[in-house]
Amino acid sequence: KKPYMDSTSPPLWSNLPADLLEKIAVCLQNSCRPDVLRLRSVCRSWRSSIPAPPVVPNSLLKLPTPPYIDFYLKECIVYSIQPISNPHATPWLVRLEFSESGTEILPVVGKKNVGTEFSRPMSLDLQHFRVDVIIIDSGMSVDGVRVLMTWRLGDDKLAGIIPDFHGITKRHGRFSKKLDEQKRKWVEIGDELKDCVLFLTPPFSFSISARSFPGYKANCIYTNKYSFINNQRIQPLCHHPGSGVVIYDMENGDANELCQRNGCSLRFWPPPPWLCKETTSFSFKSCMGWISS
Amino acid sequence: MSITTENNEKMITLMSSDGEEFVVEEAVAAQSQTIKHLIEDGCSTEGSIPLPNVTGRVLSEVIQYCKKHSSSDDKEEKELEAWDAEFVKAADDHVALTDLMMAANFLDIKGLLDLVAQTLANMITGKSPEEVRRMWNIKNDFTPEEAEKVRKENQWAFE
Repeated sequence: KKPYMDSTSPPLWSNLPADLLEKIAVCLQNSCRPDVLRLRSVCRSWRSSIPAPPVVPNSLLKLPTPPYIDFYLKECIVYSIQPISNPHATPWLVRLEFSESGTEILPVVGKKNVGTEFSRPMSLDLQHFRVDVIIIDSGMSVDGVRVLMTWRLGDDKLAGIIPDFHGITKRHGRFSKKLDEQKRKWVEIGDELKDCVLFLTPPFSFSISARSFPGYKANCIYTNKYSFINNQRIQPLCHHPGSGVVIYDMENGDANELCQRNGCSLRFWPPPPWLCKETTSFSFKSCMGWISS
Repeated sequence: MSITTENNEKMITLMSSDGEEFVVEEAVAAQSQTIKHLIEDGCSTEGSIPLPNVTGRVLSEVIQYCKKHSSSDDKEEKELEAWDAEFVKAADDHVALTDLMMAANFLDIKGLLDLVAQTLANMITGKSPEEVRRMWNIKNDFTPEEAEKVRKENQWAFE
């Protein structure tokens, strides 16, 4: 028998019928495994009614391809990590990429070669850190191509190679479509774009909301400097992980390289000091070495 | 009891757990599979349909939803989505939403159930277990052994 609803007494959420809890969990599951895990950590009845979420599968999604180029959606996971004790800290974004040789932990944008500087596995206690999945499975990969291009739905070919970022905004005004994950179709985007922080980090791209992610600049694109050619202001490549990040401001058209220190774009790599400090199982000795040297 | 309006729409009366009566068109009430079955079984011919699990406050919200959704079949999907968003916003706190979810479950209104479940899921997203407990007044009742298991499961590793 289902419990009576009486709005005068406080709700007994731990007594919420199992099937309803499960329903909420399914809604979460669509986007975020850590959230489901956290839900299972609330109390005994929740734990028993919410099934453990499956491990995210690593699969490739085929996209309708223009005839002469190998275009596909590849799975990647971008996590946002923030200390629960300090909700104002700028969340650290990190991505996991899957390949035949295993899983790699990489800076979300910028130079990739993390190499041996980073010791694995690293683990986090979710009771101290808020770990959110920002995106799963919507990286668009273009094999062998390292410059920005546009492709419009319905076109049978790419709109053309854009020589620099100015081309994008001048030619097309704004990005006007996004992929609706649920409906698996492209939909129009409206005003929310003004709050949008876009990451173009081949082979992946994703966006976050500047309002929900303090420290990231709205209406800007974070990308790698090798994503565009013909820009004299950009310094030559260096080889530290997370280096070579360029911010392109869609408002005024400025493209600038992210502030660097010892060759690192500290925003993305190494992991922030609060992460290293609060986690004993988190070993970043050599990364810390970079910061102090 | 069943009354018929001028445009020949059959009306039925729903009675909440606290004795409030609501007269609605049958088509509106039939958005609820539970009520639809009760009508089909002839339970509406003798007086009102009693809904012992739903208070008047919650039932009035549910009826609002059903009215909108029974009248806007051929309307723009977008407009309905916007209306839904406003609807759950108006119910805003999680306690009211919980009541609404239980009612939607009992009355078997799939659209409303999905809508509220998603809204609650969005509220929980990104919250620590402690925050969720505080929000819904839930006691952490794990034994030390279970707590250790929970800790292990939450030990989230990049591997």
